[in-house]
Amino acid sequence: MVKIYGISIEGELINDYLPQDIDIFISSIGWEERCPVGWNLLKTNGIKVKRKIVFFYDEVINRRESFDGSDTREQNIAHFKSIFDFTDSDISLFVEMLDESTGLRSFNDLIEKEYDDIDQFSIIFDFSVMVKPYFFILLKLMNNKKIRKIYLLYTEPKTYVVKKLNFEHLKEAYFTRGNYTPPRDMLSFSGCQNCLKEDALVILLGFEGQRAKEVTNEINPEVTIPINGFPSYRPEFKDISLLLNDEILKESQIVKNLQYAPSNNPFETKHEISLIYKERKNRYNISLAPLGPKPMALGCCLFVLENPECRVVYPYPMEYNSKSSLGYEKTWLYIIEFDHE
Amino acid sequence: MINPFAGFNANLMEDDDIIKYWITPGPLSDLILSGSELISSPPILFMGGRGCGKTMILKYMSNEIQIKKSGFDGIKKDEFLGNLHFIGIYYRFDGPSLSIFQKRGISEIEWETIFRHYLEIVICKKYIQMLENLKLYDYLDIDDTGNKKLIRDLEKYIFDSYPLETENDTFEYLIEKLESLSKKVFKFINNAPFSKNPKFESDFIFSSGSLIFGVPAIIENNIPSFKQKKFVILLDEYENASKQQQLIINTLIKHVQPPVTFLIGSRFFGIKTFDTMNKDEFLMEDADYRTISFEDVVTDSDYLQFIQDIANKRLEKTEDFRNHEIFNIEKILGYFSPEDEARKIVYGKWTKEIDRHDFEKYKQKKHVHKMREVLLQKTKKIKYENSDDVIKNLVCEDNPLIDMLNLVLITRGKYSIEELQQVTQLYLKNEKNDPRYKPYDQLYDKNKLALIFKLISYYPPTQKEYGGFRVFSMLSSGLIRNFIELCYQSFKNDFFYTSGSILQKKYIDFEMQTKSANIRSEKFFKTIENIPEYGNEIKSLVQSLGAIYSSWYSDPRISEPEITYFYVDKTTLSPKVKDVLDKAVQWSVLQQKESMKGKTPGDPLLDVYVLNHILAPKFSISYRSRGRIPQFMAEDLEILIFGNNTQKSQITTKLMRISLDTQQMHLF
Repeated sequence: MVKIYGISIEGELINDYLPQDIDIFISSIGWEERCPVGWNLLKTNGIKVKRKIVFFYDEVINRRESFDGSDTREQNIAHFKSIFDFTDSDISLFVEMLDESTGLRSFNDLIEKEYDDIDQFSIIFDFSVMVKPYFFILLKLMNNKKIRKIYLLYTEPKTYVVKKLNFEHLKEAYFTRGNYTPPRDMLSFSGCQNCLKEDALVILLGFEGQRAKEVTNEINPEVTIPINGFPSYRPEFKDISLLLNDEILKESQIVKNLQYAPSNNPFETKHEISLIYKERKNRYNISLAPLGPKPMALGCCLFVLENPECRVVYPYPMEYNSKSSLGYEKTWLYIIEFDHE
Repeated sequence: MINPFAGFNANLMEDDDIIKYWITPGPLSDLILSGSELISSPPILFMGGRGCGKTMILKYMSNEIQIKKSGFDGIKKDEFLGNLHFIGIYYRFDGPSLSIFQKRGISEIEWETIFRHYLEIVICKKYIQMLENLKLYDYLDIDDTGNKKLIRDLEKYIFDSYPLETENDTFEYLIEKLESLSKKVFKFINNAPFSKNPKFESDFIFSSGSLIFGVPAIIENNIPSFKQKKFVILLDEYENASKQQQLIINTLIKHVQPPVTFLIGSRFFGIKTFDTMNKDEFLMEDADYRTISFEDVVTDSDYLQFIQDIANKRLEKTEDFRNHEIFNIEKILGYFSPEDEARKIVYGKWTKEIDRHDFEKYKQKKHVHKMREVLLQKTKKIKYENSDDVIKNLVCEDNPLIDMLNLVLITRGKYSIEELQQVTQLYLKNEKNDPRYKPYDQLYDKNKLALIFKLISYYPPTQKEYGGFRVFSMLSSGLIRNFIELCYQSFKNDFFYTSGSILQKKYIDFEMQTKSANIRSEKFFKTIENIPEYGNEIKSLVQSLGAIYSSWYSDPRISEPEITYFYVDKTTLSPKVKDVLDKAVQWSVLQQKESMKGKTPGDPLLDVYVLNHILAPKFSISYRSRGRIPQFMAEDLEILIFGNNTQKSQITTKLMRISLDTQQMHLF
């Protein structure tokens, strides 16, 4: 049994809440501009980090992305090491983005080898460009390791990649290619399904309506509760997400259940899901599909850590989209305290 | 206003809605209502395209729905038990749930054991819940003592123990015990990624069939009215099970033990293997199972009646429509003939008859201009000055399709111009006794839809209309969900654009229906890329097929009318191309029809693939399966699916019917 408490703090106040010395900084690489922002923020605020553990996704370092097109895997590795100011004590974990079990194993082996009492260390975890299944499983691991407190950093993107922001072109602009696996349970988040109960599905809405539809079709829920991000990073995102999810929202039985939670506040999302859960847990198996913004997905993760009978389903992307967002805005600090009873 | 067609996926429907909207498809009534086919035959594989209604049927046959329905109808115990032909146990294979029984550092053999154990628990829980449901509705013909004995017998059989406390003599108690075993499975699955050497442990590990076949035998022994009744395990969406999981279930099917039987719902090509766990055994059709294909059983006329009944019932159950006595979908959607549409194209409005014949005006019409141009090209005898006299005999102001047929016949050159004028006139005068009447009439009748497409090509930007009940039924391509989606969109558009004037008018405009058909067609097309594994390849193939088919509609000779399908010798295809085609059929993007004979005796049968007709509006093609393009060569198909854009464009262009009338379409 675990109970989770936490607060959200905007970038400029981070210094007031973070300890001056951090034992472990965990992050991952990506070609999005917001990737190193969390680390830079710690640097500029003079926070000392003893060791950085960064997940180097194969899909990212093998991608030709930069400048003159001549980049190689080695150059990419060097590039990311430099943006994270790697020193000899820092560790790069080379993992496959689409296989979080490899990441889990590497990370687990490392901390079991190097840290006898990991729960005594201060940890800060930047999940801005970390793929969702990874931060879900890593947070679960930290929970299993009885860690009491984690600081999480998240940098909002300035915008998602769009061609034109008008209704006519909206679908084309946001509609990514359908390179997703069929929805499947996130590793270790299968919950406990009772075949005699009906299914209820909570979908945190993102911009890919077709993914939401596929999840709905796969889970076959008697009840679907969509949660849309509001307030959103940008005012128009709330409506864009509704428009792009029209295929599931056209069902009167679904749209009547529409709920809202702030895009940048995991605790509000967690609270919203808790209310839904309390109301329906006796009759339904609850499944959650975190398709929306990462802070909302974090809220979902925190909820499931407290309520492990619920499952998390996710259509896994089959290829890495290096240009999913542009620029960056605020950085948030979320402080999570686990109360292991 | 509530859209009567909102909610078209049986997966998402509550039990009450299934009961509310249920219509028994005539040809399947024996299977569904009396289960006679299940009683007298081996297990059944019930195949059908995505959205044909399999889930609705299997769910309807489940004990949950049957008990609830009888309860609603106030049916008493004796009558219920007297009418009880079989007991349906519904279980749907949920893809994500099944995907958890693999990997995580555990061997395949261990997963097999865990999955078998889990499946036994699931079905056993379903059996016991069925007993509890029957008890709740007072449909169980045993007294308290009999009830206790049944529970104790079950406990003894399942757990090899007796309840210690008498208050535990309940079905709920048995379910809880099974649930605790199920929780152990999930706990193991969730924790395995964090363990170095995960090992599954449980107080009981059930072997294959021990509960699935054993528990019904105990129930049958304890409940008199269950004697001679079949327990039908209704397994839905079998295609979601992995090959390894299908092996386990195939073994159960192979060695099915009365009173249990199986009815397994699957999409086409959803059966990944017919093997069993025993390497020397496999499932043999007719001996071990029988196949029922929804599309084969439900014929065209049955289907028309079926969708009409479904739609009408939805209208009846929706208050606004009930209050306005609007119950007839056929009337709401209406009907227009090809001739009506031809007049609409030429005169710009729907009209049964034209106001005034005026040849001077009519001859200015674009398609008549074209006819003059072709006539002057074809025969030197006709000069521009006397061409009006000839054209007068070849056109019909009331029916521009006659003009189009004659234009095609002039191009083909089979009739002399004089002869054609005579035949046209005798046809228009209805001189049926003339021997020339019938061939012309047959030609007209066979080609009139193709002629519409030809006529439209002279009147850009006019688009083909896709409206009317019969057209919607054909666009739905035998898939009920397609039909309901078309209706949903039409009603939605009517509500939105006319503020629900349907309640007063009692019909929906054809233009509105066409707009709706276009929207559904586009949406169907968009979903193709989300098909797992080969979504993009199938989409690319569909895009090429659409362009190729569409190009043939402007063929001035209409050498192959209404092209909507292709055929190929599947034995020449690479395994990957076969996989793509199978996947496309599984998702009903392509529909496989009866194979064709090759050109010469001894040639292998050719496989026929029809593009789902819901895509007709997207590519402005027909919704009937009449014409085909020349046989695909294996390499052409390979390129259309896996080639680069330049290669695809080359093949597409090669297969397109390019005429002087049309400009080459640029696809990529």
